[in-house]
Amino acid sequence: MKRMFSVIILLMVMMLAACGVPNPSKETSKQSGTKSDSQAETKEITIAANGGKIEKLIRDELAPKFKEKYGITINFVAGSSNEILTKVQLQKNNPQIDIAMYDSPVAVRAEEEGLTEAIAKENIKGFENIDERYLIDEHSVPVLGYSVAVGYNTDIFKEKGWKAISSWNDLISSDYKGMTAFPDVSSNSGFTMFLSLAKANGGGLDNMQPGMDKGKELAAYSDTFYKNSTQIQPAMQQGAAVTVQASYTIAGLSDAGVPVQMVIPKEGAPLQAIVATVVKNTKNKKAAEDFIDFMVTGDSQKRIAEIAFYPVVKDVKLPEKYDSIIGFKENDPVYKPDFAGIAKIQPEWTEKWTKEVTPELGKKVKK
Amino acid sequence: MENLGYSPDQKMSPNLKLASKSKVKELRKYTAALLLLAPLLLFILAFFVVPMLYVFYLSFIEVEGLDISNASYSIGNYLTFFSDSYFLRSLWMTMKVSIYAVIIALILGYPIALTMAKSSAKVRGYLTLLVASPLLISVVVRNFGWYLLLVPNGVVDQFLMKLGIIDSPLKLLFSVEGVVIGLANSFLPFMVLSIATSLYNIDPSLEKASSILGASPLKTFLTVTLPLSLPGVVAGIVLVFSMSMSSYVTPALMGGANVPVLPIVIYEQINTLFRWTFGSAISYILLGVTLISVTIFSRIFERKFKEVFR
Repeated sequence: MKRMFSVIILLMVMMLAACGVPNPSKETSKQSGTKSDSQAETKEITIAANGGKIEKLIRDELAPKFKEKYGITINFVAGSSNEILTKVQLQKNNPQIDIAMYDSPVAVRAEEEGLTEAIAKENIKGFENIDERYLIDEHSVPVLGYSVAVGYNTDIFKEKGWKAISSWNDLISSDYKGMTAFPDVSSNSGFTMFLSLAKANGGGLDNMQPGMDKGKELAAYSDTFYKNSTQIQPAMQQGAAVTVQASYTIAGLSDAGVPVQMVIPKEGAPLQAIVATVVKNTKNKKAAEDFIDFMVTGDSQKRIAEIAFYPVVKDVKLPEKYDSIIGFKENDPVYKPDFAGIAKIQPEWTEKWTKEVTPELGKKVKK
Repeated sequence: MENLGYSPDQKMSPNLKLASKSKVKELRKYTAALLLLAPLLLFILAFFVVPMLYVFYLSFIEVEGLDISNASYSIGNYLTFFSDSYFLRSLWMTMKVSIYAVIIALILGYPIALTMAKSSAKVRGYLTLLVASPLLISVVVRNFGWYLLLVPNGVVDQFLMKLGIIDSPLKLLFSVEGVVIGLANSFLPFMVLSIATSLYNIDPSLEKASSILGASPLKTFLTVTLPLSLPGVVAGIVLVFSMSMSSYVTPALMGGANVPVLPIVIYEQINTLFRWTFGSAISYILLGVTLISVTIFSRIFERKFKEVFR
């Protein structure tokens, strides 16, 4: 018995030790030394990105075309930006993912944690074509553009005779009580809404308090904040009149039969992108760069525009059916956000909002 | 026969040769049991105990961000939890929701279990299948179904409003009520099956004797059947309570941002705020609170109804 026990304990200790935080081992550096050999025989690469539309596009359309051209198979791992970042961080010493696609603020975070490789511009042939408003820096390449703005149900607005929304502050109105579908602060669109409310009331990244104060009023007229866009769709289909979402989600609402229109409030809406990063220490850097290049070719971007993302290259346009709903005009106040600044303050203010604003939910909605 | 059964291990040990025959027998019994259990033990060790220990170790690290290589060890995470009213309120909400779910499951479950116990073997089989059927559907699908039904101005609201039963939407979703409905629905089978099992074990002659002695059916139920089924009831309560305490999907879908129970807070700390070590500490607090409440609860019952639990 005793011996059995000591064996078990020994095993446990060994496993614990294995779970610890190993320093980058020598093997890793060896591998990067022999990069050219391993790259020559790259047969497949793994991409992590959002599920849903993006997954479908990459897995069903772009991956087969890429394989035809380069002979490399694409594996796809779906997850939210945060989930992907967690995965990449966990596999730091032995990356299983070659390309990680994040929302821009999360990409900045990944870079700060040292989880991205620099991408050489000359390896991305389509680079000059990319609209620079989407660019962050040399650690990522934007692939799917979007904005986060206000969407409203045109039928309900017409029926009730409500005036059009033109400011972020217009979201706070007793008219909309119980008919809102605003996102939770834990999502990218939720935090963007928070920041926009702060900006619209004299604040900004260095002063988020005005956003908190306005947020409390907003919460009082709302039943809930929605944690993800999957939940927003049924809400908008069944009577919610106004939402704040990524442009592609608003277009998705239109595809689902909701009479919806996106507005860019006068204080502005951020232009963001889902950006591709090459995961630090991947053995397949060349193949990863090839795929990223493949994603910014005109053909791929055309397909990306057809699933309602803004093309990130200058010469591709949004299809007409989406342009009328989520398209923005030359003089619309879209801006390029300070992603590094956002990444710095996001955790602290997300928690503050959760603790102080969320409890105000529904206080002014008749139960 | 017995001499043939020695393993080489035992032969080599001088102590064993001196031991009495019965002791050897007992040891062999243990060895056999251990060998039989070994695959399971190893499995649990590798995939449960070790990760849990690792999480426990993480919970004592204080760090901002993802990189734990330059962190310091302290009980700071635990102190933060207990000094912040937001987390304490969340803990209380988790317990409240779980207790409600237990009560609903008990009220709905007992009659079903009783029916199962009283019916023929064939009917009992069908009933068991029916009771267990929610478990055949993925928890995500089931809760999303509830979500679509209960969403403000959704199917249920519109139906009730058309019938004139209610005049404004019910708002069951995004509320404690919604979460309780979802949890009770998810865990009802566990309540029913554990109560039913203890009902099956009651000797029917006891109930017969009670009625021969002149007790009404209600009295028989209250003084014979109910007390004898208590072990099952306690088991059911413990199961439903602990599963409700740790459930994530149902509160996330049915309660959303409005019902931030601890598992949701943990997910947010880890996945949105990237505070892994604080999330680990909360996990252990949740585990501790669940274990303590369950232990106290079952001790009280066992002490109060000593005869039944013996």
